[in-house]
Amino acid sequence: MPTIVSVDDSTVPGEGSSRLLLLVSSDNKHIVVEEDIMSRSRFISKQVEGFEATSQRHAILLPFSSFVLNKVIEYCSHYRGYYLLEDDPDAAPPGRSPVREWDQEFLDVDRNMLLRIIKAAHYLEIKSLVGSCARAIADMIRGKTTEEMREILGVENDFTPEEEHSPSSKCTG
Amino acid sequence: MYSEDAKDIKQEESRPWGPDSPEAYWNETTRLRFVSIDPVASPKGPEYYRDVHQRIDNELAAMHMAMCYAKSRRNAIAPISRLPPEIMSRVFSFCVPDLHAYDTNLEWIKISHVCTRWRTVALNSTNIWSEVYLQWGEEWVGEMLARSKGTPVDIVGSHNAGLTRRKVGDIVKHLPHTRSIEIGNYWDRKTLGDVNAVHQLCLGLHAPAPILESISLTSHEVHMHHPYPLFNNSAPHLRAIYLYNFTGFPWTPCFATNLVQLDIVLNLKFTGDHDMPSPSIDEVLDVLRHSRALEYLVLVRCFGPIRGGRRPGHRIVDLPHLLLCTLGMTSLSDSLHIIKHISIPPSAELRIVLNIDPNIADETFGTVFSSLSERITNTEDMPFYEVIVRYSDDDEHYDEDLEFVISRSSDGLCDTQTRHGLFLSLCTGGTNEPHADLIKSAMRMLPNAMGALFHIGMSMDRDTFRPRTDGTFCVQDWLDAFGSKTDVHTVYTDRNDGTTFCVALGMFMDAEGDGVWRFTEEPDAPATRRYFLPKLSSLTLYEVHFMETVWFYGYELPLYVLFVMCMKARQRANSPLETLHLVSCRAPDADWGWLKALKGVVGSIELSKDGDLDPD
Repeated sequence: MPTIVSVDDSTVPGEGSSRLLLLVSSDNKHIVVEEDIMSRSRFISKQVEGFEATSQRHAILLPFSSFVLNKVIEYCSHYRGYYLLEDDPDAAPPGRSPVREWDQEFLDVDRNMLLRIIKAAHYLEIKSLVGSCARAIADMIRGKTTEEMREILGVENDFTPEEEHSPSSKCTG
Repeated sequence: MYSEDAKDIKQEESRPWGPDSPEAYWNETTRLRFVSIDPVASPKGPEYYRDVHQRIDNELAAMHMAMCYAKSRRNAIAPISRLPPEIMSRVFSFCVPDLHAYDTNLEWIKISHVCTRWRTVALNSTNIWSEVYLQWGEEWVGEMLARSKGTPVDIVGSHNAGLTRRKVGDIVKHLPHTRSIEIGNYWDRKTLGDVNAVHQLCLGLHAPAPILESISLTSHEVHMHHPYPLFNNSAPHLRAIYLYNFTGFPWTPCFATNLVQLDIVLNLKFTGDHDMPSPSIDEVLDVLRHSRALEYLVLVRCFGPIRGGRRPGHRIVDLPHLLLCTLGMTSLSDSLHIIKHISIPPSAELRIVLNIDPNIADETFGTVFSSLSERITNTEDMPFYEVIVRYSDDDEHYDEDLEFVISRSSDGLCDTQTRHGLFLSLCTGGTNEPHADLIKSAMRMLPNAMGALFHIGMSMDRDTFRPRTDGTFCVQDWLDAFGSKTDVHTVYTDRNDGTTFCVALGMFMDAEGDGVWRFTEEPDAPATRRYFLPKLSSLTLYEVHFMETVWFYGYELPLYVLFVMCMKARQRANSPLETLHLVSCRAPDADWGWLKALKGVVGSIELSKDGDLDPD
């Protein structure tokens, strides 16, 4: 759970049709964003519902940097008002929907940034962004050898000889 | 709360990190664990050395395990490892090829060979093991089904599936959690190979299938003689049955309750084959009577000869949710006979498909066409609005055949517009179309039916324009038949057929050897020849994508090309197009200036709301 600090209404205007939210990143950057933009995030929506229940508005502290947060906001801004099936809580679990062209360009970032975005998206419960990032990571390793996958994603072979030669890994198509 | 990299973890968590250098680690920790020996200072007997040897071997093995453990710990702090398992599982799911892409490559399985964590996550991600190709080796078919751990599985086996007894045994064993079975691929046109194995499979599928939703059984050479005791008459969630040349299905109403789609298709070559007993019309009607939820029904040559009028004692089968019904009996009267037994909602699309014998004379073909034309034109309450006449010389490849469609309405083409009149749709196989005479014949048979025309599915290149000496169809034939018609005032074209409006507007696409497609005027034509319909007043483009580049079939083209064509059309006809309808068109990369320019050369532009073109 994020830490929540109280803010007064002069800090975060909360009236009218375009209510604003104050998001605070892990590097203590304060980012004001329209609530409507962030409504794609189930996590933020639940926080806002909590505000309404208590009649108090708060800043929402998030455990990732402003750089990552701004990327997520960019994504949410782009799809503001769009219906994306993956983000519909009433829809069936997302399958392998076609890739969105804009997402491909948006996620053309280095590996670590991509991993940070997907973690942030997961934390914020933005399923469509999680799906797009997951696809981007899959694209990085698809068709690669085991050794290449290890190299790309910075992991090492930690199998014991017994595990490496277990029956399930010997199966070949 | 998680942090973003290893440095943060180190700062936030208090852990004994051990000595700072490898030397210190060795001296203070590791070295002390090893057996100390000095054979020179204190010689011992052979038993002692054997024992020490064994201990050193143990040390080496333990060190190897320690290495693996150390690597595991290093992996644990790698950025990728800090993704939750459910996210990793989602990543893996994108590595698995789509089941119906028929990509049987197992390269993706390497994701479980990368490291222990990936393997653990992969083995726990039951969804990635739930799509099973029978093309895989026996070991993998069994392994996949085991790894699916009871989650719903989809089983697909197209040609060369190598259906062995062991695979059959595995499929039967996992039937309780099988969601769909597709044995044989209709488009492959190939047999599964092992006839006995298919037979064994059908015999083996006698247990209830509690979650089965779809079954597709296709045979191209294998004759299924007997109804099999499939699923012990218990498949309560069965929603779709596809049977292609498979007549061994047990026609019992117990499969009908939730049925949404039913396809029964028998190839032309099996029709009338007494060794391959078809279901009777009574059996199928009985199933349909219990299929109140049915939405799609396809019955093609699946019954033997049908005699007489309405079958005595039969009530009309009511299918209130039917959306599409395709009937393709061996004769038109047989298809119409089936209609008498089924109540089809007025909103449903009904298609009658006729296969014409390839050896018939043009006159016969024309007679059929003319007869259909007359019936459709003169009978307002005709129960169908689309007739497809399929001229087939090879039933195995009918998708490549010449196909004529007559319809009373083009609702299906443009949802946003309802047109009435008789339309002719020609779908030809390309520039080497061998049926030019038939096309011309059909055109002659519809002298007064051309209120409008659409969809000439013909690839267009330079050769297409040149008259043929081999009797194949070319654009000039098309123009001879349509271009001279003064009453053609409306042209529709869909995304697969940009060539139609190219002809209508007097342009065509050409690649000058550099592979780049351009729209140009016909290069060799005399100035007097016009590839233009003089009374064309309305052009509808359906699902065209306006891009920066030209795509061969014309559904991706730059807006300026459309502008140039419309402008030239205006110059030639001395009157502008009255209306340009852009239905479901999109322009992700469009230069909007050209859309404005278009407004200057056509009377008006109408946009459907579902496209992304800006009306302003």
